[in-house]
Amino acid sequence: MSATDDKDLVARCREGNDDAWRELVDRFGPRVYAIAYHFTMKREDAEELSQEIFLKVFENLHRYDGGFPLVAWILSVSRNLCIDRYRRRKREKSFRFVTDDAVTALLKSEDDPASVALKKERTKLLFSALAEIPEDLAEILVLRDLNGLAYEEIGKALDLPDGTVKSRLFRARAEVARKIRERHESRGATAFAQIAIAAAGIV
Amino acid sequence: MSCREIERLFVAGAEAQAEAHRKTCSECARTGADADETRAMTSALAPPPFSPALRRALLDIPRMTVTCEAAEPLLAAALEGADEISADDRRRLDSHLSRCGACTAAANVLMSMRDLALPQPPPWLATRLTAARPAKPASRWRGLLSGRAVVAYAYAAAILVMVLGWNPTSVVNPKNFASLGVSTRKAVTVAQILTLVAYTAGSTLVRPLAWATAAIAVYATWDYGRAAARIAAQR
Repeated sequence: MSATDDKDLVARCREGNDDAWRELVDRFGPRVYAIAYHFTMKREDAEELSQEIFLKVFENLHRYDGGFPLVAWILSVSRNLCIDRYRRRKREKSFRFVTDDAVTALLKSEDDPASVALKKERTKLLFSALAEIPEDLAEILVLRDLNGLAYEEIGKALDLPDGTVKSRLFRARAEVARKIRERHESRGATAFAQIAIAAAGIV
Repeated sequence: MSCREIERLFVAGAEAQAEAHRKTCSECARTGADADETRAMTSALAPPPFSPALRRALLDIPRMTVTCEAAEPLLAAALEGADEISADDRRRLDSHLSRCGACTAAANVLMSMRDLALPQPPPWLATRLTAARPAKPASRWRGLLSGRAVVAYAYAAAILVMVLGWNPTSVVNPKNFASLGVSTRKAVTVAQILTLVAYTAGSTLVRPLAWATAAIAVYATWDYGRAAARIAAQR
């Protein structure tokens, strides 16, 4: 879709054309919902956030001038809403706890239950670690690696140069892996301690 | 100090050089492996399912709220009164205002106009207005005695006396009447000229001069009567 097509679509939405609005929802709804989901990790919250984002998009259609891709504009309009939710989630006590249901929605269908269980565990670790890194890094990783947005789209949405986007993405990936390793090691140490205590009891 | 060459090469898009550097730098090898691991984990994930119910809710948004542009006429209608805006539009407008700071600010300013108190006049204003009150309109009788009217009467009398040479006393005594005397004519003419000058110049003397002209004309008329009586006695 070119910027002209995007501009035309927005113009028709502004005129109250239901078909145009349906096209916009079908083109961007799943992507916006996916981003909302990755920020909230809760279906109800993601649906609520998606509605808030689309309400804001609809009410601000007159601000879109076709200067850059529509998806980037939608992201820039919705960024504060996503970050607010993300911070709210961080303040909650259950921030580091990601439920089985939340990660199940993200797993590709597999027949092997053992493989599913392993992937579920890894995905939970991934989102727990993601929540622990600085939000400017987490934001880029969510947009690029989890939602597949182009560097240019992310840069325009967040008003950052491509180099900064790439640099943050690299650091985000490395940070997340480090957090996972640390957590894994601490779990291993805890398990070892439990085994040692149990063994001492037996002895 | 940690080596960040692997990050720099990643940003530059130099993949081959990054690979080569990882083989020589243990720190970058580890950082690169971490980044690769996270990338592998995220790429294995599917997007969350987008439910039909959510799609329906999103499609319904144009019926739930309005754009900033469409909010303007609705706001204007709401200010006109509750009857000027439908319940659906009112709900959509309220929904929009609950999220849009700019429109809420505009609405608050417009609404606040209604709460403004009427300004109280200063105590001296009534006195000044009374003093500046225009004069009472002239009555009908005053109009008949105005300067313009008197000028008209004076000229009418002068025309009767001077041009037609008609003596009103001839109505009473048609046999004995006198012709207009030269001195009287001159007196009436001078009075007329003075009145005309005052009238043209917009002078306030027009009224007394008009009265004087009228008086002279009346005197001339009375004098004709006397002259006529004298002529009758001589005969």
